[in-house]
Amino acid sequence: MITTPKHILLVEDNPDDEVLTLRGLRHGNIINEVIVAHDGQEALDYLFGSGGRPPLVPTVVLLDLKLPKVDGLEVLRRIRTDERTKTLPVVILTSSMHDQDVVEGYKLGCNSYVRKPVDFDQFIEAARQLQLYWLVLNEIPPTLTS
Amino acid sequence: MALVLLAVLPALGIIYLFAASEKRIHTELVQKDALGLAEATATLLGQEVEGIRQVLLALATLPELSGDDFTACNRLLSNLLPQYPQYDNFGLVRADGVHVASAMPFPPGQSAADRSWFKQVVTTHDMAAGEYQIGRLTKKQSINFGYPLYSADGKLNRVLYVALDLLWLTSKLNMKNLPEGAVLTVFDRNGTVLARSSDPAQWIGRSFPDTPLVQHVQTVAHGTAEIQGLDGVWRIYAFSEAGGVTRAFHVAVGIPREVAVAHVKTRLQVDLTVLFCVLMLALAAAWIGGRAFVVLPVKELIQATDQLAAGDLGARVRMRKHGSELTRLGLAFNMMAESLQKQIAEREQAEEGLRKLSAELEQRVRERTMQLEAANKELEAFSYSVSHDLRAPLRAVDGFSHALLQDHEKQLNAEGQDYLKRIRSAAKRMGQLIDDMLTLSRISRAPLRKEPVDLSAMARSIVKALQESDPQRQVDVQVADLLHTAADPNLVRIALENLLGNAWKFTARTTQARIEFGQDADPQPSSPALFFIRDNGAGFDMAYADKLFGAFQRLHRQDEFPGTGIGLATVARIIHRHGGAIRAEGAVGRGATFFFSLEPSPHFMTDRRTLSEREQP
Repeated sequence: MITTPKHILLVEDNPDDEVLTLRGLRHGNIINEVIVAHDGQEALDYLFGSGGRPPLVPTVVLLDLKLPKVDGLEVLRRIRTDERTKTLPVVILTSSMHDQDVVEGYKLGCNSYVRKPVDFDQFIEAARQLQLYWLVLNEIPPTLTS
Repeated sequence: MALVLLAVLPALGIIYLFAASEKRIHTELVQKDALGLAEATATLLGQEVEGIRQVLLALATLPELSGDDFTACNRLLSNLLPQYPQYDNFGLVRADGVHVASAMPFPPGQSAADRSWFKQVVTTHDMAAGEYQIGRLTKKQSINFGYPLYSADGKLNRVLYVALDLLWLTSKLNMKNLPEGAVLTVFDRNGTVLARSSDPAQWIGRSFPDTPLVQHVQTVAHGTAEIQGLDGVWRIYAFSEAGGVTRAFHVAVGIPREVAVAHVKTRLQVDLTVLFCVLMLALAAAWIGGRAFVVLPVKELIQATDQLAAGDLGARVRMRKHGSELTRLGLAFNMMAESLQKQIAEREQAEEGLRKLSAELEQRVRERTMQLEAANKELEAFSYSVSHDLRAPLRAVDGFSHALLQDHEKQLNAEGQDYLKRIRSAAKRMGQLIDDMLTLSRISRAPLRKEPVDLSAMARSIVKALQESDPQRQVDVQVADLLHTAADPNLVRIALENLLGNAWKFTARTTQARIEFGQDADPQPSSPALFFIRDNGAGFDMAYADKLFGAFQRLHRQDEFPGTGIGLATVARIIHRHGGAIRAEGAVGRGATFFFSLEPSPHFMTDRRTLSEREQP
């Protein structure tokens, strides 16, 4: 496995949300590379490699649920069933506050479930905290970094 | 059977009574018969004695007997004797008893002086009879009769006698007409048997001086008595004396009791036999009839009843032509079974109808449930899309407004900045509305899990959060201790958050704001706990009280007290889901009090109903 620098994989199909999320993440003043996948399939291709490109492992995945092609929960299931990404931190970042989605997300092994607030100030705060927590404070298993 | 026996009893009694009476009558008849026989025999014997008298009288006239030529006399007598087979001997004795002549040869000097017939003739000068004797000359059983002969001067000088043969006498007596078992006996005056109807050879000559029969014979000249005979057999005896002055014979005719009652007995036996046959016939008839008319129908009835009890409703009793009680019983049974069968058939029909109806109803319920489930799914999809899809544009509106304000602040004048702020505010408010609506719909769908809830602790934590979110507020909050209930803690928390939040919000402009959470101290007996949350805030006009719990209904302007108007609708729905009720009291500027219970209560009915009605969309 190729060692990659610390970076975030953002899986987001809504361009508005993509822009706002990236803006929110930048506001956190913790500069890290953010890779954006625009649907579930793209996210899986990135994680497991495709067309000769080797698989890449981000530090954390920010995963929306409502996605074209392969939806967020399916992406999560695939991440958790693959030995290489089994311990990869996945944060669900979504508009849905559906109880069922929360339950299902945790059942499939998400590490966090964050609801995107409408209030952008709150959103910036959430993004900042996520970055701080997952990229600075949180220790990840050695297999993912080596 | 017993009845038949009982019915025969009177007949039996009559038969026995009749038999007893007949026995008495018959005994009298037998006595009469016996007496008749005795009299007849006595007459016969009397005639015989009279014959003897005639013979002796005739002989007495013969000169030879008066003369002294005894040889000629002997010859005459012996010539005469064969002409009289009934006599054993003729003889002549002198006044001193010495034999002088006889038909049979006799030793000289033989005397008859000791003989009773001789003594009597000498004494009475009339014919006299002796007793049983065995002739000294003839050696035959006989009885002697003596007759006096007189001399010319009228003095008794000789006694003529004749010996009557007892065997001949016996044969002479008419014994053939005697009834069976009857005995005719002729005694002499000493009680010695002279003649007897049965076994004469054995009995003649035997003397029974001390037997009851002989005593009767000697004392009773004419009459009857029931005594033991010489042979020990009890008989009805009739007595009669015979022989005229000689009183030579005593006749006793005995007819046994058995013979006397034999006829009655036979009659009784016949009667009893007939009665027995009748009885047997009656019993047989009763048995056959009983079987045919009682036992079989009753058996059939029992069988039919058992069948009926076992559920065979078609069970019937076979009907018979004759109209006995059992037939009527069978008829009644059949009618009952008929009615039962009909009723059960009707009931089954009714049940079938009910089943069909219930099946139809179930089918409709299923269909309706499916429709409801489909509607629910649609609603869920709708709320899902609301939560996800509606919020995303709002977020974009707010987010980019924020970006504009931040990145291009310098290009915007104050008015432009104000507009962007208003855009952001509206977007946030819409986000809040969406969130509240989702909460409201989620409350209706979430399953209810009741468990003990410490309302006091829950209220305190909510108040603490309110205080922290609004630290500059000075509110006097009084939460009573030990407020407990059974409820879904998540839902109750939402309700309390709304109620306390409202109180917090509407006391914002009140100096010395005060909020009280407690329990109604004096509830109706057996009614559930009634809680209240009271504030001294803005209050409300009771005229609009019915609008309080409706969704999106607001009594205050947004710039006075912000809100979505969904909070109290959510509270009411939570309370109702618990089966409880809620109502509000208040006045403008004087605060509001919300009473609620989390259990069903009859006292809240009116409020509950009106609240439920209000909730209708």
